[in-house]
Amino acid sequence: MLILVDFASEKPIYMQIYEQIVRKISNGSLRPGEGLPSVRRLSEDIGVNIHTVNKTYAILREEGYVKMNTRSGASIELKNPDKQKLIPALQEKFEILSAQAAIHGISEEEFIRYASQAYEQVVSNSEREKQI
Amino acid sequence: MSHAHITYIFIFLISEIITLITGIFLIFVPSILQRGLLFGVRVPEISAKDPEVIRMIKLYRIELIMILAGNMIGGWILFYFVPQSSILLCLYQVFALLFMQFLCYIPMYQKTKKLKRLKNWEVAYISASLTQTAQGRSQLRGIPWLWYIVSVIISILAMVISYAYYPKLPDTITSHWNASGVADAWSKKSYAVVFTMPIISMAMTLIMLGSNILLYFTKLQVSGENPVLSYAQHRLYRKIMGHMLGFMTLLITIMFIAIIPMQMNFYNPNPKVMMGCILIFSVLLIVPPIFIGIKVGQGGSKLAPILTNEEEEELLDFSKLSFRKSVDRGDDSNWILGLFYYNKEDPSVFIEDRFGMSGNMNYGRMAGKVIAIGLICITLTILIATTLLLISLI
Repeated sequence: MLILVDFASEKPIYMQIYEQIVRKISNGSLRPGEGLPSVRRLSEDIGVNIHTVNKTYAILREEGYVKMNTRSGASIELKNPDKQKLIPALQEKFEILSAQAAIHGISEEEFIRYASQAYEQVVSNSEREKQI
Repeated sequence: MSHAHITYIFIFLISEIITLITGIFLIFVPSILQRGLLFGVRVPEISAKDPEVIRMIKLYRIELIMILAGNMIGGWILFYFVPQSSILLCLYQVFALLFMQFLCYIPMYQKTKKLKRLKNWEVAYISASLTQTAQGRSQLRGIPWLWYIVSVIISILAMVISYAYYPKLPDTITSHWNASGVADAWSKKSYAVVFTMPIISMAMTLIMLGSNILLYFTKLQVSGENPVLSYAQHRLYRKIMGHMLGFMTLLITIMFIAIIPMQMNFYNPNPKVMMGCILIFSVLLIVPPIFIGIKVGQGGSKLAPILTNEEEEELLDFSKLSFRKSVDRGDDSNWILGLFYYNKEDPSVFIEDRFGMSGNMNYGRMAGKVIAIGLICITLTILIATTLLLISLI
C-alpha cells in the first residue's frame, strides 16, 4: 500500500495522509486488524515532521478507524462505526459542495449523480454488500 | 634494493588499478542515475531526451576522461622520478580524482538548475511511503541472513578448531608477511594471537550486516512521476544488493580464516601462489560490486521488476491522481549543491544519494551532524596516521 504526499498541494499534509488511509479502508485495501506503520516510520518515509503524522493518527483514532498500540504502531480497527455521529459533519460538507455546485450551474440531479458515482468509485463491492 | 623496487612497483600498480576502476565508475555514474534526477536536480523524466542534457552529460564524461588520464599520467611521472612516492600515491591518488570530479560536478549542477528554470521543467514534489503490515519486522526479514549466519559459523568453527589444536602448536606463530608474501614477523603463541583472525572476521561480518540493515532502512529517492515502479525497483535493488553484501562478507571471512593455518605453520605457500590468491580475492571484492552497480543502476533504476497484483492496482489508482507541479517549490531546496541533504523537518537520518550510489545523511538532524563529524574525525585520523607511518617507512 502506497501513501503519496504532494508537497505543493494546498491541502495540509496531515489531511492528505488521513484521506488516503480512509479511502483505502473503504475500498478494502486496508482491512481491520491490518497494521499501519508507526508514527516515526511513516514520518521518516515521507520526510515530514513527526507531529504531522501524529496529528493524522490522532484524528483517525478519535474517529474510530485505528487503534494505537504502544509496541507495533497502529492497526486498523473499526469500532462499530456510529452513523448518527457522522451525519452532522457530512451534512455540513454537503452544504458547501451544494453551494459550490449551484454557483457553477450544476443541477440537483447532476449533483446526486456525481455523488453516487463517487460513492461507487471509492467504496468497494464487498463493502457495499456488507451494508445490505 | 631490487626487492624494494618490486614492492614499490606492486604498490604503484595497485594504486593505478584502484584509480582506474574508480574513474571508470565515475564516468558511468550519469547513466546509472534515475531519469528524474540530473546532476542532483529533480527534473522531469522526459528531460533525458533533451539535446542540451545529452550534450551536458557528454561534456561531463569528456572532462572526467581527461581528468582520469591526467591523474594517471601524473602518477606515472611521479613514480618514474620518485619511486618511493608510490606508497603515498596509493593513499592520495583516488582522493585527488574524487576532488577533481567534484570540481567538474559543481558547474554541471548549476547549469542544470538554470536549465530547469529556463525550460520550465515543472516537477511534482511528491513523497511516498510504502506501508505494510508490521513494516519494521518484515523489512528485517528481507535481509539475506544465510550469508551472515554461515560467515559467523565459519568464524566460530575456526575458533573451536584453533582451541582444540592449541596445545599441539609450535611456540612461535607467524604474525606478518611482507608485501611479496614472505613471512617476516613472528610472535609467541597465545590464545590472543590464535583468536585474532576469527575475531576480526566476526567484526567484519557485523560491520557488513550493519551496512545491509542500513540499506534496508535508508529513506529512498522515489521518482515523483512513477512512484509505484520506483518502489518495485527499490525492492529488487535491495534484494540484489543484500545478496552482494552477503557474498562479500563470506568472501572476507574465508580470506581471514584461510590465514590461520598459515599462522600455525601447517602450510607455507609459495609467495607467488599467495600473491595470486590475494589478487583473485581483490578482484572478486572489487569487480562484482561495480559491475552489479552499473547493471542495476541507482536504486534499481535500470531494473524492470515484475509488479505484484497489489502494485498493479496502485499504479491504476495513481494514474487517476493529479499533482501540482512547480519549478520553485520542490525538494531541490533541501539538497545543498545536490549532494548534501539538509531538512530539519525530516526525521530520517539516512537518505539515499541523489548523485551516485552511496548513502547520504540528513545534516539537518542532530544525529546526522554527529555522525558526519565523527566520520570526518575518524577518516582524518586514519589518513594522518597512515601518512606519517608511510613517510617513516620511506
